[in-house]
Amino acid sequence: MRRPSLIAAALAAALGAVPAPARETLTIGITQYPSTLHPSIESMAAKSYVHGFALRPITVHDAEWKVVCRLCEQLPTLENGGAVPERAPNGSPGVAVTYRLREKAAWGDGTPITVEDILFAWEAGREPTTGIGPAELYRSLYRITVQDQRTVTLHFDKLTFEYNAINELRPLPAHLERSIWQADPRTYRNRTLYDRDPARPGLWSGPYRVVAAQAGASLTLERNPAWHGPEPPFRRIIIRTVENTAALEANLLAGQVDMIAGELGLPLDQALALERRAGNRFRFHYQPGLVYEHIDLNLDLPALADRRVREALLRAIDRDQIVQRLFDGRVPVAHSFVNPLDRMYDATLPRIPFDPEGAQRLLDEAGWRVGADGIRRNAAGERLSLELMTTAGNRSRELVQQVLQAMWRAVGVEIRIRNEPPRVFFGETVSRRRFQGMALFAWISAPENVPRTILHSSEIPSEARNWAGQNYTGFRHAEMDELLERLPVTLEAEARRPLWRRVQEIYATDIPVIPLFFRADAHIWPRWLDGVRPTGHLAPSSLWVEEWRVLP
Amino acid sequence: MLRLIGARLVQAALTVILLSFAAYALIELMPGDPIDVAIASDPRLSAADAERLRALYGLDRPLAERYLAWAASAALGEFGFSRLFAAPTSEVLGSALLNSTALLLPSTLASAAIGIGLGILAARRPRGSLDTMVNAVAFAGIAMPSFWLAILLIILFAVLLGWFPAGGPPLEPGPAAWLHHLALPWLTLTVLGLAAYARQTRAAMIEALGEPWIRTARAKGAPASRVLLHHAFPNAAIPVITVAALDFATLVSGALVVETVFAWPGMGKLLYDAILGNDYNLALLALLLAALVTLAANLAADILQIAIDPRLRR
Repeated sequence: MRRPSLIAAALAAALGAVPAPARETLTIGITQYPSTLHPSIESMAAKSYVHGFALRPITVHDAEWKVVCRLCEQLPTLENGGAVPERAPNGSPGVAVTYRLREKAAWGDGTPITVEDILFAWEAGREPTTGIGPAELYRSLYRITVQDQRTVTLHFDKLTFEYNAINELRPLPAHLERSIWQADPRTYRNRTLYDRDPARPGLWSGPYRVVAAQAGASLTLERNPAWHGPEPPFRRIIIRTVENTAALEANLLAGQVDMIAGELGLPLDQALALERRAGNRFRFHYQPGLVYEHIDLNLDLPALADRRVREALLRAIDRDQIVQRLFDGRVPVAHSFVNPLDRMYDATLPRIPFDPEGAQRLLDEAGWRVGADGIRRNAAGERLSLELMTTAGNRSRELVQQVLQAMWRAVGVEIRIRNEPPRVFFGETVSRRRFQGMALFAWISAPENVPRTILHSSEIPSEARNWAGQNYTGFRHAEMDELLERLPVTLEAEARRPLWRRVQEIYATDIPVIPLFFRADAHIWPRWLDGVRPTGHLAPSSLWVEEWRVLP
Repeated sequence: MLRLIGARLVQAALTVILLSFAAYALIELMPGDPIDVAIASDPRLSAADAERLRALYGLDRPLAERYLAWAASAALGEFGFSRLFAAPTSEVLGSALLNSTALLLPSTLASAAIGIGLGILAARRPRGSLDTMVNAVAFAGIAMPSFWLAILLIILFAVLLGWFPAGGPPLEPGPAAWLHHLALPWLTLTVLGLAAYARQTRAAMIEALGEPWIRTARAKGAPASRVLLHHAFPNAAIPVITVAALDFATLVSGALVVETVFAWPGMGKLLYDAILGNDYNLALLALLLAALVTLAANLAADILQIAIDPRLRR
């Protein structure tokens, strides 16, 4: 034995080094720790990931981006009679949707999951002082009719094509939480057992339940004996939080974590570099998703108000090359905000190609002529100089920004880079439309998400509206407004398709935004793990943990 | 002495009050609020939701009103709830403080002991080979970014040799597991910390060794070790005590970079997260605690310096 090995053995013996975990334990590294474990209060990716193992929603979007039942027996539809249109008390068209919970569904302490748990979740959600985040579902769901202990009819005051997707209505264990909530709804979020005593078995309804929590550091989950579905593969799952991605990578290489969850893992460039160095030790999977990187153009600026200038800006950039060079071709180029994986994506729409000559021609037509210094000027002598902003410290975005600057400079457009910390950028500059030119950032959406808040003319933030709305470009298009209003209430998928096509067409030809690419999550798994299916949308892969398996 | 302590306590109370308001106002001045942060991570939050949540958290009230409400509660020992950690602030702080103490106390003591020892040895023969070596170590310790050294140690001892875990608190109970997990962060902080002690001690010792009373002691035949430790070191200890007092204060303000790289949930990371997440209650309590301990450590250093050097009593 060589000296280092002797020293290592001696140290390990002296310090009680922990042996490598057996395959009955899976340790997952993520970069965020959930600030609360309550299913309805606040929303963050780390919490969704943990809940994927330990809680089952009634419905969810699956890996094929379809709404499916997880806690209900059959997805109610207008066709199978589970959903029935009706008139809401306010006179608007509504719908009554009936869900039947799975027979053996139970909380971790053996208490059956019943309509009581749905009723409690609804009552708590409707109460403004409970502090639930997005409350639209609770506002729209105006009445609940109990059929029996497992069957419930939900009455909504509007009828949209997503009428049966109640992904956000998470049953809460009424037998444990109701009395705590009733004592004082205003302070309930500070007293919920999900945060005060997360190891209480009755809080959890998934294949696993939380058995230990080290705030800010780790969560330990073990198989839930009351779970009604197929047995999940590991006796124990440990979720470790390592916020520094270099340290997270080191933890993976040192064997302290078995895998890095793509939902909250390494940035793409770091994962690609790691794959080059350690590709034989792990399996790498790059899942394109709904995070849409794009550039919002401030259409109030005279130069950008001209559609020809916007088209020229798009023609001047080689997005394929950006994606190839910076991301190894692992992220799909975006041609609109609709992801190619979305069923409403239209691949036949015209695409504006990389065409620097065409860009120059358009700028000439728009009255921007190349000056002596290579920068274009209009008849008044004003330089075509635009500000390009993004979030400071985001290495990928800053790289993209520099490449774009060079590409636009080549057609005579001067780009002034001015970046700000995310809080300032989002909290002030973008949300109050203070960017003087272009803002590079990402939108997170959901499958078939109608982009009303970002494209409808009524959603332009202004002081008069207290800066509400996300139409930061200031885009106004009467036909787009009408389409965005019709889309949610068009129930038939095939009837929506032409509307979606037209929305994408207007977006692609009017160019209020320069689409760049859809970000991809880098999932890094051990070679012995199989069956993990990332979705690409907000539902995490952990929701299907019972399908994961250990390869021999 | 009592008058000095009294004056310092009054000064500390005023500093804490001013600091609490300044901290509150500075957090308030940061762009965006907790709800803006929530909106950025949850696209489903509507404008109406944001307004409701702002009212619920009291964020729609004027700054002075909120500060006074907080100060009134704080005066009664009620420091409120942490929004980020969904627990009482005292509870969150208690656990982070324990973690930081476990991380920083041993490394501070080790870096002080090693650094002072190296400084004394180097001062014996300025520009000698040992002095050159100590200087090199001290310069390296000061120049090395903590994250770089931490990552380097992780790669060497966790990834390549596999001797120690790469970070995080242990999941298993027992002191052996804690020692195993703390080894690398301790090593990092000790290497980084000893540089300041070594340089301060060396400089002060060289100055003290040039004083006339040292020549007198040597002329009277005092052994070299006695000259160094009994005559020179007490005179050289004053700047070292100042460094130690500042170091002691970091026990409650934490070591942000090292805690982040080693995924160690201590005070530095907690304070950083609380400020960025607009967790007023937590950030204020942590800042005030750090200020109090810094003031107390400075007071202790003053008293110790006066005890060592009676001339300072005048």
